[in-house]
Amino acid sequence: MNKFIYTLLFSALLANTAYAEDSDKPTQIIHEPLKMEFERPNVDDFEPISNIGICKIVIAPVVDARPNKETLGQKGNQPIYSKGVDAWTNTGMASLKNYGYSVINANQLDDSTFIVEPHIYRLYSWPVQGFRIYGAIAMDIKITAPNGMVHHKKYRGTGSTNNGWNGDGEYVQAMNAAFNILIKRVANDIKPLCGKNSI
Amino acid sequence: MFRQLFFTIPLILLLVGCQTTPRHVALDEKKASTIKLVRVVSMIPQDEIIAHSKPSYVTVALGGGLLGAAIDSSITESRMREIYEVLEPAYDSFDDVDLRQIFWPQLREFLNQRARLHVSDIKTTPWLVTVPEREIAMANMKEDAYLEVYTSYFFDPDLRTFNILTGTYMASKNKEEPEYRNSIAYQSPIVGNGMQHSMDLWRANNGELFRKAIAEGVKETVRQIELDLGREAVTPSTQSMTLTYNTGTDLIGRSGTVMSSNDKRVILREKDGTLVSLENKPFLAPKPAEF
Repeated sequence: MNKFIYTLLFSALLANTAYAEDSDKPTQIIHEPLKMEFERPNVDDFEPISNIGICKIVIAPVVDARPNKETLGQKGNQPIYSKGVDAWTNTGMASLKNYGYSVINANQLDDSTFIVEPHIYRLYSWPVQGFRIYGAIAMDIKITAPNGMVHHKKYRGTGSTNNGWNGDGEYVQAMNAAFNILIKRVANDIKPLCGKNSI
Repeated sequence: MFRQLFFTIPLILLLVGCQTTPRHVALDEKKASTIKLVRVVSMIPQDEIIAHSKPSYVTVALGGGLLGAAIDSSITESRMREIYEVLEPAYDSFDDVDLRQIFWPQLREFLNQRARLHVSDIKTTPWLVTVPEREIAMANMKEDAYLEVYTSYFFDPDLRTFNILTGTYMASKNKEEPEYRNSIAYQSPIVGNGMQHSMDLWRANNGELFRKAIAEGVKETVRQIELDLGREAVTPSTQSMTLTYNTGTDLIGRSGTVMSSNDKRVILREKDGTLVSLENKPFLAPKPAEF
């Protein structure tokens, strides 16, 4: 009976895990990581910050400082395998331009540019009560003003989405929701710094 | 895919519901004597503390359906938002605390020095080992038995108490039924009046109370595993106690035989054999209202 239940559980719930061989007794399991694709928030939640003028920022590549780089939390009774976090976080940080900032490349840097250096140290997702899926992200961000003064702060975002099918996309959506909350907080903090052109 | 899930999940739930798997299976001397060597896997999937939300039961009350699920989802979101508005800013005070780094050395020390069983290999992982992975590990291992220790930790919905929950499972090679299994719980003393007041206390002085609770919780959890698997036989006292337990919404009493106690903490073995470590604070049932 147990074997029967395990087989059913396996076939229905472990959609991300595939046997290497099609046999009754597996010898190896192939893990498929979550496909991390950054998405902007809904238009309704997205409000460009007004009166920031021309504020140029260079965003350094995100440093992955997560103590656990293997997983992104758990999806029911299985781990979420981590891959592609670097590209996802870099794309997300670049979306600061959607708040009205002029995000430029490092080779365009001049003496009026702010430098943003993000370190990600948490990223995970988990289901709550079976009805919702939550995502959490935390970053340590250093912002250096053109005059050399430094603003250093930890940022967090916790976001969620409906749990329709316990699907991979829903876990990515929850982490995107969390990341967009974090980005908005960063965007709000840069505004007064830009206004002064120093910190 | 969805169609498969539609049919398969209810069937699984039905079958799992029909199973009568006890939460506690004691490792007796006869079984222990047949096991010469054990492989251990300790899993801690969480990267940091999270908070639980009070459950919402609208779907159950309505007998299922999408409307109930939508209402439950909305209620859960509202409750979680309230909790995380309080918890999020507090992480700064204790987000360097890593339960894995505190728990694993103490678990290793116990397993290597004071366990009844000889341990060959102790694997520690943030991965949740799935059933097929466990099957493969057990089929290919050279040891006689395989022991899993799964640990999670969280604040209750009112943020007054910190909890560590540990599930243990051990099976012999080529056997499906567990030789040993248990559910082990630790709950901290109640801190504050709930929500913001409690979180202000947890995070004060660089998270001093939280750090103390997590250290105590790990010590008590390993102590409870030792009560089940330790070399030294523990004779439980004949004393029973009912202690105060916070569900996150109510205070209730949890009763059991006293396995270990001091003026601050008591470890109880409950009627079903599971273990719980609670503050040494007897439960006083509320007096019935007088009319």
